[in-house]
Amino acid sequence: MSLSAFQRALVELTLSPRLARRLYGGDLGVIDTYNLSERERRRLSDIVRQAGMSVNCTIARGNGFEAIGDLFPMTCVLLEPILRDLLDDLWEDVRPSNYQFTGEADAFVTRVQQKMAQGELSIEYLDEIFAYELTCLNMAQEMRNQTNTACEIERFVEFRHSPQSLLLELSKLNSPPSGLPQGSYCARLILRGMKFEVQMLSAQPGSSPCLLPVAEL
Amino acid sequence: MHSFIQGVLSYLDYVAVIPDRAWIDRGTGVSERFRVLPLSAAVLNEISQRLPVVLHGIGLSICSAEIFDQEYAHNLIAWANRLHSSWISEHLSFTRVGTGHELNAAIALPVPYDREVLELLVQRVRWLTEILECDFLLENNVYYFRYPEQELSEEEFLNQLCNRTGCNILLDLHNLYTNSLNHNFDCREYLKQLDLSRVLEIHIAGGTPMMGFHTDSHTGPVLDGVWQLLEYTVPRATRLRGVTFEFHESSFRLLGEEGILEQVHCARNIVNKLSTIRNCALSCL
Repeated sequence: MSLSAFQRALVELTLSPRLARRLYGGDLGVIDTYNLSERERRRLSDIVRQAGMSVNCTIARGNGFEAIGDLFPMTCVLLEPILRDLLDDLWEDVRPSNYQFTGEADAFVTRVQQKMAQGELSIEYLDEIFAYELTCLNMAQEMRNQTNTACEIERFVEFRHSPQSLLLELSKLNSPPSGLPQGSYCARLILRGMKFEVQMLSAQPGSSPCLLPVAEL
Repeated sequence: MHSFIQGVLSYLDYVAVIPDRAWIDRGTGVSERFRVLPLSAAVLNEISQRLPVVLHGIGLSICSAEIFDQEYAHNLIAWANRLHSSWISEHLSFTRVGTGHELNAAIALPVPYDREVLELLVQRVRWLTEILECDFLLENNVYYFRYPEQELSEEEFLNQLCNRTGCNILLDLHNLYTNSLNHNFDCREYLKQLDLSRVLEIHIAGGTPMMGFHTDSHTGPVLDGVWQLLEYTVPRATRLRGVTFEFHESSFRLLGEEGILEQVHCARNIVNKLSTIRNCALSCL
């Protein structure tokens, strides 16, 4: 039982740098609730004083949020000024519950949607880009469940600003220029097997439809 | 990424895959717990028809004191049989705690090398090796903190575990290199103490500095220190069957296709020069 309690305490300390800091500061109450041997108590008190524990906690957090960066890279670029606070809150509220980290991206989506609905995220282009990346994610999830690997999934996403200007810049992880002219645009997303293609169907008057670079899942 | 792997199969001798990418694990106690992802499974099947495949699991958490997930193990074994895997490997670490509602550490945490942990693992590894139709390997873990008052060294722990269970070692040289840099010990001394006849597979990888530490990020090319360790180890690992270059997907852009194949090429040169085996492979995490 003691080893189980020790492992649980270590996981809790890894997931909560705040808790680790309290123990580092000498608050042994942090580990009093676990049924630990004296050696295990000494070990935990020692570990939180090692610089490597900070690295351990940082990598754990990075692993937990890896899916968010992979699935919503452009949204993250736009959220950059508040991203750290948003992820801090998320990390405190949503503890990883499985090794595949299936819940973290969903929790991120819910949190962003809530904040947008409450008007807390008035960031230029955010709603369009978030909707675009969410559509891509939904398509990818749908494709993952297909038994016919040659099938094709198609979706349409509307933009108020030129998708070409937005997506090309954001795909390089750069913020797009502020104040792009508004219009009515529609992009056609096609997923064939594991390859994404984005076609801009309607563009500003006078410009010709374009094909954005193909991405691979 | 998939098209890259499929395109370079002829250049490889085998492929090390993380089977957990081919299913969604809906949690213990759920009916039809492992939901297969057809597209990923199709890719694995296709690869396995062209090359030998070895499975590198990430979800067993074999060192979790209160969890020994036999349901997961059976699923892993079923996949190994289906893909005719030459061996299965797992990490000498734990990520999962709690029964019912689990908590995941989001990082492979080391265990203290104590006799209590050794006894726990001996039982589990024996159970696994008895029902597995192929070899079972445990990988030396990377760790960023050290437990004080450990009863055994890592080398002693692994040697005893192998002797008592018949399991073998996946020697991750980048993990060893990372630990030696971060905790200031001599890799060669470690390798002299480890029973290298138990090493069936070697991992090599790149890493990055962070917060004054070297991390096992699997990004970038293999470092000189790791190549030197490979040259030292290959002729001494008498039962070695393969060397695998591990890289993270995010490293794909950094290294490029040629850069990735260059790592395999360098590994193959060392293996050809120093060993009778000829196996080099890729694993994308």
